[in-house]
Amino acid sequence: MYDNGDILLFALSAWRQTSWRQFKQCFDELERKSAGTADYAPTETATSHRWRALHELSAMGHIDLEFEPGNIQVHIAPPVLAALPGLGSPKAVLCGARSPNFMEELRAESQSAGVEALVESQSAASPYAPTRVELRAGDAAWIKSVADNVGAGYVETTPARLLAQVSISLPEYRQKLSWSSDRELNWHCEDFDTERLQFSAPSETRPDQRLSRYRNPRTTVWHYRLWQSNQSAEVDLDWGRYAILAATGQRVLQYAPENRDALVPLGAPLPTLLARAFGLCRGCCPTIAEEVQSNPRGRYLRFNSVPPSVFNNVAAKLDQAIRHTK
Amino acid sequence: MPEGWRLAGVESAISDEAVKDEFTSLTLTSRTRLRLVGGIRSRAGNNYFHFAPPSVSLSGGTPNTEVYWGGLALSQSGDSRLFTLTGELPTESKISLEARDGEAVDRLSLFLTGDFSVTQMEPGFFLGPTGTGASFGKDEPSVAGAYVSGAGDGTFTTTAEMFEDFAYEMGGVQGFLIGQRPGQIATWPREAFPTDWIPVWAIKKQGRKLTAIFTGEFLGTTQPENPSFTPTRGEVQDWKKVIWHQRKRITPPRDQCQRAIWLLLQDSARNV
Repeated sequence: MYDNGDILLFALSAWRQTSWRQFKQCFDELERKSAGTADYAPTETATSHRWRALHELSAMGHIDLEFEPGNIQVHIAPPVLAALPGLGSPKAVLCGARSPNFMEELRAESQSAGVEALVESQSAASPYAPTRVELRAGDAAWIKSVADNVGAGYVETTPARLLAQVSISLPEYRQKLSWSSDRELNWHCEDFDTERLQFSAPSETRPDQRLSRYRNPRTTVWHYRLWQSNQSAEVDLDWGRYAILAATGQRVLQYAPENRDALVPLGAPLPTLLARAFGLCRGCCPTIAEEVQSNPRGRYLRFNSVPPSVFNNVAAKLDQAIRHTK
Repeated sequence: MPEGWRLAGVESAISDEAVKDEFTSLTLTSRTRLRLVGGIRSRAGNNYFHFAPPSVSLSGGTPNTEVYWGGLALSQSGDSRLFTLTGELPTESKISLEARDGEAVDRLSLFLTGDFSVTQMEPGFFLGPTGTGASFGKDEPSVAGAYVSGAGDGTFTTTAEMFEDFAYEMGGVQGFLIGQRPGQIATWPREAFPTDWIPVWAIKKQGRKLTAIFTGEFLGTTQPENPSFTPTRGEVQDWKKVIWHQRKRITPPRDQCQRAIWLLLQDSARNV
């Protein structure tokens, strides 16, 4: 009846604020249902699937994540029709909270207002992506009228562009870091490999500039530190990866101009707002691009319909020069 | 694994005949029991979302034991003793289930939570410019889902950005930019994007075929129109030539409203 992605988003919408434990229970129940067996047990990859689902929902503007010590809270965003960039009829995509009745009302209101509603399942792109709803009208005022009638917001100024503008840049992020000369922790440690884009055991000769992670032996939570000579600073993982990639001159973002696809390596996900800037260019779930020519770094995540200026802004924020794919 | 040990897995126990006398703790309960399995709880207890109801599991009993809801026997999924809740299930009222083997042998009830309101919702949490909820200043922009507050008014940081995106949207083909008033015409990309009038239509030229496209996002991004805009005679003639004389070659917009506006413009060009 409903896709798993819809059920997940309905539940998060009803709860409004969801703890990691509650999210995990809900997610695992949907996995169990998909597996079609009552005694389903989560596999080792379940954690990465849960995180992928959260990152996708965040990139599509449905949720915001709050990281607390020892916990994560998932906050549902208010329902909004967010304008999409481009020529032609004004277009907007539904982001944030939804319920089964709300979806029906949105369809009915669109129909009576003469607004075209494109409703498409995204389960082929990702098992936990909710149905995409795009409204198209001859005039933006009609979309606003639909939004008003269903009690949702309407953001007419393209959020994709605004997000790329308001996000902090890598140099600004580095300035905010608190550097210390403390000695290295003696916890289990791994270094980020900027070629393979994954963490692995430290090599014998460790570079002066590196991103390392340390596992707290009591809580098993990873802590990330960016090293520069003998100084280090605690960093957010997503920013930390791009900081070390920029410091070592690695360019990993790619752009395919002919179909305006932005390609982001799975091993180096974008910081939240920049991923959302790409995600809200079309409001659809990014897909995994299995084969990218001249790609030395494994699989990439493909964001559709990204205008060149949005890509350039995001790349500039991360000190990543454009790499065009063929 | 320690020497002499063996590892075994059991899917389900169907009888305790062989062990019940020797190991009383392994005795299967003779009681027939209903249990809810799966589903997504809306809150603690037997409360579930109507869009993700649980299944009902039956343990104990005989092969003749059946599960009923409101006088109707529930259907069993496959060979298992799992029963599916189907049909128009009531929300916000007690759903009573009963296991019957001639007479009622166990009962269970649950609630399905109905729809919930998501309208007029205020953001419960904001992200700062780093994309985390870490403390950020009052003057700094904040984000909640697709809401961005504290950002500039415009969608494009520079006009160069806008030109670049527009050029991409035009797909590298030639065409015209057309405004509402006679004489408001520019040949794309030979002439610059106008700064004293607002291009409402982009006419894409592919071979002999022309297509009228509403400028959409780009409409509100140029400077306010100059009220004293005075076209040359040649510009007025070009404007009419494209809109009226070439009207049969131009595919109008697909959207009905935009198509109507385009046809009105064509009609007004006729009398220029």
